[in-house]
Amino acid sequence: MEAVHAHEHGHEHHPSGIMRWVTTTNHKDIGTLYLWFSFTMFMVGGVMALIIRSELFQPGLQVVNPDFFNQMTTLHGLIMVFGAIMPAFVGFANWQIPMMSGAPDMAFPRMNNWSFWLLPPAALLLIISLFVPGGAAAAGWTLYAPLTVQLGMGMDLTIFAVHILGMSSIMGSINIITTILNLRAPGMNMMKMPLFVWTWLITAYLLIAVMPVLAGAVTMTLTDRHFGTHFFNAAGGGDPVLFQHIFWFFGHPEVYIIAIPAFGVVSQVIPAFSRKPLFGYTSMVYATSSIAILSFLVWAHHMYTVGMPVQAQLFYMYATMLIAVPTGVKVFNWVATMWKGSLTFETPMLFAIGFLFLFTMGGFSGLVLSITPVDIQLHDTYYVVAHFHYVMVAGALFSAFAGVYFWLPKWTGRMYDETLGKWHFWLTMIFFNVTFFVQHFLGLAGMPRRIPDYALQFADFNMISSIGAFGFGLSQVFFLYIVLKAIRSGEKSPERPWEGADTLEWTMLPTPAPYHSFETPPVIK
Amino acid sequence: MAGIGMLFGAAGASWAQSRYNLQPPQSPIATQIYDLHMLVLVICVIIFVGVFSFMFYAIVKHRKSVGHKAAQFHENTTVEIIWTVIPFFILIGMAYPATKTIIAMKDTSTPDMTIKATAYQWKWGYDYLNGEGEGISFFSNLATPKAQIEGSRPKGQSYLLEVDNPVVVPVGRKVRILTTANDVLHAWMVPALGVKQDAIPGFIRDTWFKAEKPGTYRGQCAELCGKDHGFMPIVVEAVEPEKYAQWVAEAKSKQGASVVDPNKQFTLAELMALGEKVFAGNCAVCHLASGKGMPPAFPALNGSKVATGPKDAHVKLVLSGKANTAMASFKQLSDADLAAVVTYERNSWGNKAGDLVQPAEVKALRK
Amino acid sequence: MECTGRGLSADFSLTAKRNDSLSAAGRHLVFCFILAVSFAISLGFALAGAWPILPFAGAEMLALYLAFQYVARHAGDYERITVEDERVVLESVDGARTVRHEFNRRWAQVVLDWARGDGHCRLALRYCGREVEFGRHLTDAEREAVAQRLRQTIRNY
Repeated sequence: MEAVHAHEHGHEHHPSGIMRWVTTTNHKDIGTLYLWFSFTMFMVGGVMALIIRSELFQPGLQVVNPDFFNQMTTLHGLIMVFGAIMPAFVGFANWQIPMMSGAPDMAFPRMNNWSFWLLPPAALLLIISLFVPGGAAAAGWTLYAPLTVQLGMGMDLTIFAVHILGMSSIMGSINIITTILNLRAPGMNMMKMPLFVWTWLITAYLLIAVMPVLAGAVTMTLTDRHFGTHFFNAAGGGDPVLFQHIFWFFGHPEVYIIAIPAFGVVSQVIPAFSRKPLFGYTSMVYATSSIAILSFLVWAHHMYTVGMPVQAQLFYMYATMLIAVPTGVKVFNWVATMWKGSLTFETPMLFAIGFLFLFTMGGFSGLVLSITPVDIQLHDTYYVVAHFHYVMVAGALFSAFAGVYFWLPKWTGRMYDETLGKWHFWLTMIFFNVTFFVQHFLGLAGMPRRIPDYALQFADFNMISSIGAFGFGLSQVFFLYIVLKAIRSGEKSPERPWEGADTLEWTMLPTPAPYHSFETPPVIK
Repeated sequence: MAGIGMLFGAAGASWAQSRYNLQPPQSPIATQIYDLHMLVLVICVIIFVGVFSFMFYAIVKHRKSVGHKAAQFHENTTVEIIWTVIPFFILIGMAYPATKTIIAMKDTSTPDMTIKATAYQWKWGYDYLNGEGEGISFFSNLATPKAQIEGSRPKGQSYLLEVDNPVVVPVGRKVRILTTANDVLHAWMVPALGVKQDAIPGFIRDTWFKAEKPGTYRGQCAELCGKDHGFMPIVVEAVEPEKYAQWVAEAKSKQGASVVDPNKQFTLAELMALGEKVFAGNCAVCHLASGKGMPPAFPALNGSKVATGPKDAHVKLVLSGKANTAMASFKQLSDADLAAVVTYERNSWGNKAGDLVQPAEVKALRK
Repeated sequence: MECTGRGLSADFSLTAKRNDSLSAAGRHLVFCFILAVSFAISLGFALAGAWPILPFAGAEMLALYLAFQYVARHAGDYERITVEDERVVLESVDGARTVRHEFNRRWAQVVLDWARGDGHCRLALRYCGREVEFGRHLTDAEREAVAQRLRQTIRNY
């Protein structure tokens, strides 16, 4: 992901060393920073996942105490969502949106620099919180009140971290929306934009709509803890369930904030390796928009068990089921894109197909969960854990891998090792399923999530899942090796490594992409 | 690793044994949920196989290496309308039975009996409010010994799913469960009975079940509630109505026997003996049997300012808890239990306050 | 970039504008839409008792407003260089600021160097020891081309 920049004029002057990265306002540099940051956080969150899976390898308490276990599940969730997946796709946005829409850079380059550099302090706060008295927040990534009131200083650090991450996201979103709307090249009208750009426009909008809601939620938690307010305290006239409504009003669109850019990447990769235009471009745009709109109407399906009127349960169930329609349209479109194409299976395509296959499984377990009575049975069990890992890991992460392998030649001018890339895919694919498929069975049998120890009938599936998790984790270290090898000593990439890729960055820019691209806009016919 | 073999060898029979599916349903609602899940699962599997057989056909036949040339079509309005509309009708087919079940689940009217389940960190308290057994009230703690959890003793059959006092209910009766909580969110879940309801501090929610067959049905707290979230199981014992009547009689006589004269004066030895039991059942999860606690979240009592300071302050702290910490109120315990446990804390480990607290003093401090 | 080599009166005229793909009306529409949704959401929560969402939404809308305002202010930015008779005129509009410089054609000197320090070339006109930069909206290659054209045109008087 390290950019090897072409020095067109031989006159390039940058501050060197670390200062270059601290002061940079170049969208490609910042994209690179985002990607490396997210990979680092992916490793940190991954180690936490492995601590969790080690404890769950066998019944009984062996590795950690229950309180630390809860800190691990909480931080694993927060770090993976806010530190790994979201920044990864912002990294893609930074690299690709200007190049794909014919813009010279992001609309506000200096703000772009700030939105990145807010992330490391926030991540540090989360990690430091492990070492303060009382340890890190241990209330789950959902931070449900009133458990949060009982926690120590680690909770306050988490709240500040969430605030900083939120600010970064908001600045990033404003930048992305302004760039896409104002800096498109002449002739690049909305319905000509590559789907990746479209999906980010929608995602940035979702972020703008829900980030203040999250900021408000954690602020109320803070004032309840320290300043005697009673937003979520029944004894003072508040309502703990209000927190859940607020959190999930943010949380459900957040799910799509993670998934929608992943749809975008896959919608670039599948046509490229099918050598055929994306099927149903218009319906893709409409389907994505309807998913975004519906995501505001379904939040309470995360909380059927708090007890709500029957009319509310029915409304949220119908609205949730409805999401299956546009999601189905997208899957059908991707399959139709492959249909009668001229397919090849380089690593990006493998990950895209893996995405398609496993994300659809996650979608179907989502449909199972949308049925309220079944959801009540499966709520807060491992079935839900399995479901959202199919959507987040097999969905977002697989598509991020597809994106890295797809654009790495454009970014660095070098090819990754195709054999190693295929190994990475198959190892990831197999270990992912070993880890998470069996968790469906655990959930069906009634194993609650977030428990450090479990009854004996859950033992064998947990052991299988833990073995899978370690395999999965190691496969990602292998990914790091593949990327570093490509950057250091990869073969030089041809100008157009993928013959089917036809967006601007492939057709109108050299490989590797120059440090400054499209300083005057290209004209799109 | 036995699971992997089982995974692929899953025959029809194993579905019924709940290894790969929901637990065998034991109430009308659980049965409906089971059937709904099977219906949706089957529809999903059929669609999944259908869609991906197209994909795999394309992967095999439409690949470049077999010389397939790419077609250039990129839209087809008819097809796109069809695959938007058909899923819509399939969804309606799923929503219809689901709606019926939701309405049935939410109908908590005309119960034969009502039991209030109050969640504490980390145990359940039950009060039989209405119907046969009215007035019975007890706590239900994890019965698995610490030695099994830590691995120094082999784990029993019902490891982590066993309690000292199960909820006993008669079969064939509609039992309404009211849930509430004392401190943070918890959830009362018994999968075989198709019941899961959050317990929310300050609010009362309800749900219901009707056990069809006698048996022991086990569940756990399903909402993260802090350190020992994984260690507060729920056990429901459904028995024939005659046996239930018998149990009610026994429980009532036991409860009558344990009522103590509020003005009785206890000796230090009596209080210490009772206090040790109460401490083990309520306090030791955080402050540990050694009184050393797990600082900083769970402070040591051994040598603590509270346990060696004025006794009124000590009693008040136990009665009302400490705001913004994990120290909850223990006002649900009886005056005698509280007097005993405070006395125990003041005179155990290194603590030598030497004083003792009588139930009457606790009573006076309650507000 | 619009470039006219042979105007009626001018010997050389060049206008360089920034590219803007969203109209002023479009910007208004987008902003009002986002504002309406965010306001509805935070007002709804305020009515439910969670008023602290309102100030955050307000701050965010302010940031978005300022960003759009900045874009709008610079939507009309352009630079124009005109060479006619014995004058060279540089006009530049940057937000609300309009700057106009007139040079004597005989004394004007075209400067092109790499001294900017950010890896880009710099194009300027020098007159009586004073330099005025030109070509913010141009690429390096275009600056080089323009410099060449200008030198020829000015010399040809």
